[in-house]
Amino acid sequence: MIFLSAKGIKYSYGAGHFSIKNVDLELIHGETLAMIGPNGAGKSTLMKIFSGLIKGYSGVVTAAGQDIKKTPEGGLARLISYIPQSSEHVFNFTVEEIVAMGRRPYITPGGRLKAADIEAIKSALDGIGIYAKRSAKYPELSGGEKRMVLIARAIAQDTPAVFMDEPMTYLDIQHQSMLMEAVMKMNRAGKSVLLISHGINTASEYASRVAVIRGGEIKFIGTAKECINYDNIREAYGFDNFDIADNPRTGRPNIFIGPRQYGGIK
Amino acid sequence: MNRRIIVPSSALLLIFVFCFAGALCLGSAPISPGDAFKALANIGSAQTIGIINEIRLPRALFAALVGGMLALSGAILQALLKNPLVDPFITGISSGAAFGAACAIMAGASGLLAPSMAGAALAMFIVYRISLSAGVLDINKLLLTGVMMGSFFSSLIMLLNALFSKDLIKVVFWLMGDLSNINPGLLLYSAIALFAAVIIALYFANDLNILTTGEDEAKSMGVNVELIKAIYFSIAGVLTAVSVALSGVIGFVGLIVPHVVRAMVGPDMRVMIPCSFLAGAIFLLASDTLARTFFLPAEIPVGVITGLVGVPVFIYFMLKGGSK
Repeated sequence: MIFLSAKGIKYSYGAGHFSIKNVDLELIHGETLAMIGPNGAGKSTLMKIFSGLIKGYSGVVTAAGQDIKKTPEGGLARLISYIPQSSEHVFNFTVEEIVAMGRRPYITPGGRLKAADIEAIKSALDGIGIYAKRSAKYPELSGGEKRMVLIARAIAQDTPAVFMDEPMTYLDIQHQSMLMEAVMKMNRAGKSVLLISHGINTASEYASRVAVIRGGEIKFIGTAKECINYDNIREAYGFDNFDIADNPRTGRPNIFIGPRQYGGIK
Repeated sequence: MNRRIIVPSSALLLIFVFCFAGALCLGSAPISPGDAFKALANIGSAQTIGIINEIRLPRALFAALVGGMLALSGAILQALLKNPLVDPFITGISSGAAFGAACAIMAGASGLLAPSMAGAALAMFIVYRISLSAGVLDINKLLLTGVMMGSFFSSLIMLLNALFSKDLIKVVFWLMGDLSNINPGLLLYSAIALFAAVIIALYFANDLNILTTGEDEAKSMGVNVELIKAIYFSIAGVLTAVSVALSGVIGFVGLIVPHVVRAMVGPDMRVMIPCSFLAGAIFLLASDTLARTFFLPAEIPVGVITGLVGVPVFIYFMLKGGSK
């Protein structure tokens, strides 16, 4: 069953600027789809279009059967949670206050949180293991902790889909692993996940499917085995100083890069 | 949530009552709290009743009103522009009002309210229009345009001063803020406008909270971002315009008060809005009482006191690491 369907998506930031060229994509219910590709390929733009944050595109995007251009903010916020690439807050809101913001789609502007909302906030904090940090101030947290708070907020938002733009930027490997485990937990709970990743190995290991984007187009899409191979990655990223081998434990392809002065990996 | 609003608001309300009583009692003719209270009920000597009901009560209400408006406007703009160092005058609206008032003073007009309101409205319109493109209000453009318009109107005032310098001192005093010209009718209308502003601001306060975390995030959580920006810019703009038109440019209230309040109660606008309003009222009431009484028989512009008190407080918070 398809959760999100994008057909014939075209978008430009203006004449002579970067554009998205006729993209078709489907996000299946309960899958984790990772978008990979070089810097400036159009991954974040596509995610913003799919999240309803950019409206001036041509083509049709539907989420749960509804055209997202015609769906009001409140309705869309009950379908898709969006976690941006960076989220640096100026003011000292606490972790609990940030997570509570995720309940906004279920209350009126002047409305108060009800018992069900408070339970959802507690459950989101608990589920991600940050309940003890609920009174900490968000700007004072480490990068990894901030990411976990945003995931907790997305859990509190209780949408069938979560879209994440580069969630692992600036995270050490321990926090990368923690974060992806949290993503997998959401996925096991039935949520569809759309993920942008610069980590090809992360995409390969965790995603059900991978879409390789370059120049505003989807170049390849399929399972990691189908998409992540030497020729595809060389074409998408425009370099050849790497090698690809299967992870012996998972059987999924992983990429290795090395210094060119030693002749590279290849 | 209720407790978080009620506890600090009640504490501030108590301080406000204390300051209000002080404003009624202190002056060139000191009056005891008991006599002042009786005078409010028209009991006591005619002279005391006259001083309290015709001079000090309207002035105290006026100071509280203007202080509340400026602090509320500052709190809103700091959240809207995601910058704790913004004050209401950065929007250029006050300079527009000052330009309107300067024109009226140079032309020899007696009433400054209408021209300063017109100047404020003009500045507000220009800043809003330039910052709006394709239906989206660009917050960075708003800040930059506000600063530019402020400089532009200040230059125009300087030009007027250079060309017609006869009433320069009047303009300078007006620019420093003055709470001595009170119009009881306007006081009532301003109070009604302020009350409406507080109610609307409180109703959408959670959306403003979410907006401070980022526009894309706010949209993805169901906030109508453009509507919220338009509402809060309008509220802050009208409050600034009315307060400047009524009393001139009283500095630091809109910058310092929200800053201090945020350090005490946190950034949640549902708490910040009532607390900033009350704290602004307290700050200007206390400053005005000092301005009236400290150098007796002379009365100094209240802007001098808010500056003298505000700058050290601001430096203290800067050194302490600011309030966010």
